[in-house]
Amino acid sequence: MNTKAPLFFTLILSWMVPPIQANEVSFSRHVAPILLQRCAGCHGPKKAEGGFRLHTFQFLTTLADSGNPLIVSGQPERSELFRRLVESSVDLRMPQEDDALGSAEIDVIRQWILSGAKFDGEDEAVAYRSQLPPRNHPTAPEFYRTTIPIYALAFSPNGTQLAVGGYHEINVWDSASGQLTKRIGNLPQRIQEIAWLDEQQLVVSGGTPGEYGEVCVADISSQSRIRVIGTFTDIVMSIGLNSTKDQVVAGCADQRSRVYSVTDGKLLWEAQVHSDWVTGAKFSSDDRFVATSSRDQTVKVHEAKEGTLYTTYNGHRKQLGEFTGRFAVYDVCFHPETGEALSLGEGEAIRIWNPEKAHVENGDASDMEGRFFKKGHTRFVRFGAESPMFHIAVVLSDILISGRSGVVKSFDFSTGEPKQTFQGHDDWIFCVDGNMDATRIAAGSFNGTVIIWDALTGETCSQFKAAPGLEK
Amino acid sequence: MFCQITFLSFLLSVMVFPASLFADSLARIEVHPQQISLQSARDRVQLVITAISKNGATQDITHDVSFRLLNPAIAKIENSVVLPRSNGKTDISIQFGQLEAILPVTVSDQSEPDPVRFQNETLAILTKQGCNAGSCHGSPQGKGGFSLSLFAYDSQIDKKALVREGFNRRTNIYDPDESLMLKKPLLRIPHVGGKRLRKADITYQILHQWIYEGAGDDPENAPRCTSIAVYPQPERILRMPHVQQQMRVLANFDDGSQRDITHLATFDTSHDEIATVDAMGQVTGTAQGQSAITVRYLEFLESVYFTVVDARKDSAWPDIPENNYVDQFVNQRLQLLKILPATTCADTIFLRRTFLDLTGLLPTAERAREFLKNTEKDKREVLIDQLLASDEFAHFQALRLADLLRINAEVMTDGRAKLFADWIALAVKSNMPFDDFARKIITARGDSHTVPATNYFMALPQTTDIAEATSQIFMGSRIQCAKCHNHPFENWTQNDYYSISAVFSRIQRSETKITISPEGDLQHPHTGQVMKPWGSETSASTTDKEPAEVDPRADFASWLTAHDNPYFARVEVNRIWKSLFGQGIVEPVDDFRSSNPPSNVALLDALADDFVQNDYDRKHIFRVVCNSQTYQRSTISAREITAVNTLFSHANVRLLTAEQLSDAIGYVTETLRPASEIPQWVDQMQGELAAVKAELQDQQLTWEETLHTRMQQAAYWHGGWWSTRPFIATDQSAAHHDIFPPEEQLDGQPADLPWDDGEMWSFEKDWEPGQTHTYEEKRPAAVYAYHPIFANRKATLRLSFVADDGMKFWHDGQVVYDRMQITDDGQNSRDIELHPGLNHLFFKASNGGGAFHFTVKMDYVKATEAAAPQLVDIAGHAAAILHTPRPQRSEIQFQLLKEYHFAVDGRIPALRKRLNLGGRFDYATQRPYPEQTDFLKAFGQPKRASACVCERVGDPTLEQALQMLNGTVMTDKVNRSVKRYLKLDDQEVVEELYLAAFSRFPQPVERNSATAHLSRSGKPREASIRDLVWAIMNTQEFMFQH
Repeated sequence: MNTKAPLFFTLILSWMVPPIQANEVSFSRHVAPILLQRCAGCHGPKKAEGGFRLHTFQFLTTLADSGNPLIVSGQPERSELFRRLVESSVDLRMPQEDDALGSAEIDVIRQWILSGAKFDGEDEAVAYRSQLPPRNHPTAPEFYRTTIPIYALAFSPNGTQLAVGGYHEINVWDSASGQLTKRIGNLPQRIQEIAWLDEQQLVVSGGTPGEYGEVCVADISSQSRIRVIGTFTDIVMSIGLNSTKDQVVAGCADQRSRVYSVTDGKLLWEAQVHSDWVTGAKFSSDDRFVATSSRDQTVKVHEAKEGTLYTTYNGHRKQLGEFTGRFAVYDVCFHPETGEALSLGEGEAIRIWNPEKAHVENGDASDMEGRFFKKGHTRFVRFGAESPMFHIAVVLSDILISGRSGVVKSFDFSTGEPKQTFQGHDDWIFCVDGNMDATRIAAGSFNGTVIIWDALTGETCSQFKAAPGLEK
Repeated sequence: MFCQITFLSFLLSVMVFPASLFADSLARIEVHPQQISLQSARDRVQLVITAISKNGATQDITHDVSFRLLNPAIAKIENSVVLPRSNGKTDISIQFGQLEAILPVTVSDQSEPDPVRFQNETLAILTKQGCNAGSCHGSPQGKGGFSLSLFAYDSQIDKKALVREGFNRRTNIYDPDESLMLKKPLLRIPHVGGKRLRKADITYQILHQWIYEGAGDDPENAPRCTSIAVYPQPERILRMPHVQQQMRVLANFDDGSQRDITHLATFDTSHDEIATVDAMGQVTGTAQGQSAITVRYLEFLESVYFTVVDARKDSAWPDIPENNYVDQFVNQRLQLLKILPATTCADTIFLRRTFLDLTGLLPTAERAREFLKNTEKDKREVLIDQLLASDEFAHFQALRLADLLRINAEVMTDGRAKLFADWIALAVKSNMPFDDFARKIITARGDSHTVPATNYFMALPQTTDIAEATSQIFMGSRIQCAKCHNHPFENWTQNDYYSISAVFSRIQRSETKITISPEGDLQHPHTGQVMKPWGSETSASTTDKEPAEVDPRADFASWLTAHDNPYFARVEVNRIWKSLFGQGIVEPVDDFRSSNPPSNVALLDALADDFVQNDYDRKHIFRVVCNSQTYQRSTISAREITAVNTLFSHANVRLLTAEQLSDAIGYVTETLRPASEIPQWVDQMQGELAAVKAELQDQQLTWEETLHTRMQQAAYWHGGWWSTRPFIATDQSAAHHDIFPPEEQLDGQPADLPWDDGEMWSFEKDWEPGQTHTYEEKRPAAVYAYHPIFANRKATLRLSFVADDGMKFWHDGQVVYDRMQITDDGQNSRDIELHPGLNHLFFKASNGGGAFHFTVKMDYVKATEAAAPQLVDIAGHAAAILHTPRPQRSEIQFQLLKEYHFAVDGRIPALRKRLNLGGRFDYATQRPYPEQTDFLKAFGQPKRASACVCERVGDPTLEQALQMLNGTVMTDKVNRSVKRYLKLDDQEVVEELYLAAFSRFPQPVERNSATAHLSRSGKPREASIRDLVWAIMNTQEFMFQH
């Protein structure tokens, strides 16, 4: 059996299982989330107060330092786990130095022990954090109290709609009029990247930093999440579709990159080759490679089929020549025609490079000295505005880059010459996109403003705060 | 209704506080502050309420009183903090037993916005919660990918890390509860740093509010803190069982406003076994003693000293003799803490203690006998005066100063270490006022061969090294931390650090000279601001001088030695105190800071004051302290042994220092002559020297003839080798081509070379042809070597060179070989024709940096030539003189040959070396830079690599035990001691040994068992004496000072 399968099955099951009956308490669905959120901070992988941990089911079944069993099946009163939650002495009651659990939560644990304390996950020894079923997300705020930073926006394939990430939702705006048309709620807390499948459906990535990440499919007409593709233990910072839009690559802040089948949510491969957040993840236009960028200052190129590492691009760590320094990489993408990769982040210049040449230049130890003095093939295009650069998009022959300085700049891909500067924003711009025929460009900023420009003239077509119901 | 409340609160107070405790003694209650004005919705005031008894004693009752608000709609009270409710005025009635105080409260501006300030609140909280500590996110790499500036020194870095980094990962302004920066420290998700916040904490609420308000930066006109004030100040006594004290911290801002920031300040304790402090400034005393509670807020720091007094029934204080003010202040403190001091120590203890403390040496048996038999009343006083006037005192104190000033013969070469050390010894002996001493060192300039004090700067290569060492030595302050960030436990800021460094930034040093450049301003590395040298503001002298004449060190020295300087006098008297008690009043002695309080403030102040009043007379302070009853106490405390004797109720038992122990062993075994015999001994050695010289002079002709004959028989002979130390150059080319001082002499006569251990050349008696010579020098450099060959006939000599870089070679002043880069290409050898007579061979090896070796190989080209006998042990110039017939020799040549004769006779250099140190060569305590031996190092001899007192370690080690039990030093000296004791009878041996080792007569039981051992048959008497000497020196009584 493929080792990736258990996770996959859990996910499949979780879509199909109907909402739980009141009398049926599931460890994975009901108990584990409580333990994770309220207990595993002190009794978990990083700390083991009182000598015990409970981030895996196996640990729950071992004795604590006190020698008392944590769980006695069918007998909550004899189970240390339950007794410490309802303990009347503040010195003994768990969680220590924190609010007590709510009565509903305590009841869940009581019911679960009463009904036999059964484990319904896949592997007792594996942290159940990574086996968690998808979350049910709260509804988005009807009226925004304040704007929130915009991490993601994307034009629909025909360019008529602009999807913008909101709080637990995606808002769809008419790109011509700048009017809000649809709200798709009950999505992950933060929307980190959006990729349209067609005019009806979008693949969305996001999550809650430090806790949870998700890739799912949202539907315009039903205004809801219709499918969860995968869950992660930290926020999914970037996704990318292949050319046939049946596979999606996801780069997560938990340092993992995964490729899923979009249609059935099957996990095709997972790689953990970065030593820091994965910030960008994209397919090459010929679907041969997947590139992932990371705060660890590298871009990794994987074979798209199996996920094996093809090469590591080290052009963001330079010690000789121009543009020296060590820079975190925040985004990567491929040029649709030349197959070259474009990557950027901290530092002054975007790097344009060819994965195959990068592979050759990496060489082996024997020719190291020669390589040190050889000029790499990378093209450097100077951003010309304040570092860092956050997002890159390629539309026809243009490169669009957004950065901290509040401007979006376009460059001619072949010459690297700057073409247009799009102004109007006054805060960091985390995301930029252009429509299909390169007539409109949109960017969203830290202070929640979206501006849509005419790509040719640089004139602002519309500008709005992407926070429905916000009162000035 | 009112009646009920009053009755209830009365009842409560009666229940909590037995009336008997207070009823008789309490006079009034004092409320701090006396009135309250709450000027925003987030304003708050921590109350501190004190009960004062009729005799003036204080007791904190902040958390024990009952509060009653006359109008509860205006304000409320939570945990003795007053919080606003709505605009208006009201009074708070504060009741404690029968006593009552009224506190007027005004609440205003409740609807005015009062946003959370990023710097003044958010960052202060991160510091308070420990987030930006050096071991957490404040470390240079951060933790878990999240990096903050250390103690929030850079708000922009922190703003970016908290709000922007990782696509706004850590804050959630829409739903602050969902912020990673709150969920982690709440432990809602795993956090390696553990639980750092609770939802009930006010700090949590402020962080939450800050995020809710948009996690923004401060506006440009946001008020900046200018100072903080802490209540109570400057000290408090907590008498058990009333060991609580609430503190209050107030911040003053540059817009004139004030705020209570008790909840934002960080509280630390210097001694958590004595007093602890919680996050809200509540101090709790736990054991008797003293602790400083340090309050930090942003870059401001204040300390309050707390004394915790044990409650004891027995408070009788007997009449304890007081010799002078030292006893008065020490006893005041002891009486407060109800610790009975030890009684006066016995004469034997006093004698040994005073000798060791003042001179580093034991009294001789003879001296001990004399003192113990003396019945004069003032004999202790007299002894102290005698010791203070002795040479031994001067030399022992010079050793201590030399440790601090890092006298090191390897750094201060060419006799400069001795020059500096002699100057220090003279300063101690003449009792140079300590301010003069410091000033002369700090402002020293000139050639280090002639101006002794300039050598201070020789051990300190960088400007900042000088600033750090000077602060540590003369100000007792470790300012190093402030190089990179404001010090968390000290008032020294980064500005101060660079301002002190600026004092020394104009120092220019050549190889041996210290000069002051007219330029050399120092810039703050972060702000780029040109730093004003420390002390320049206090002096007018700079204004009327040309900038070129200004030496900022002079102003600094004036500031330092001013009568009101808070450090200088205190630090020095504390060092003197430490040398006499083994424990400073401030400990460590070079770590003065407000968070490290003196154990007796009044005592330190009085000593410092006395020092200043007596023109910084160190001997005066020694005299006062040694004459105090405190110094003369026994080591056995009267009632209890406290773990740390910080209040000087009794004397400390101390392991002898390395140097003391080494000399003590020397004294007991009589392998070291008593220091009092030094002058006599010097005379004796000078006599010996003269005798040897006379003897050699008598043999001069015979010696010359023998040598001459041997030279005639040789075909050629090789003189020895001379070489220079490396000369530093900018690069190899300069090293190879530049003419260094000696190169001019290369074609001169070898007799002109200063051949002994002079400035330039040293005779390398171990060098041989073909040997590889290695140098430690890693910079580009060149060295020279000289080798004379005398030939009786012609011959061809092949020289082959190996070197890392270049070689140059002269034969009789002609360059015959010159290559910048020697490679193994067949071009690395040269043949020369030796002519009859003296041939001068000079070599130069040049190196471009890094590894530095060279080799010169010599081969005679014809085998027959090689087979000829050779002499290698005559110096070339001596041989040349020998070749000159006597009538043709000059006076100088006669002299040189005579000196050579002296030098090759081993006795003369040895005698000269000893005489050079004034006969103190064999002592460890009497030399300013004793050699680093295994024995001394085992007992903590400092390396003199830093100005820190921590270099001298006093911890017992296994190696010490091994050294004492059967180390080579011990074995050798015990063996040699037999000579002394063998000539005495058994009774005398035991008595002498006890007097020499312990400064006391043996007790009858000791006398009996020792003599029994000596007279035991079947063992040679020598062996028994050795046993006894060894055993005596391995007692704790010997190794420790009592």
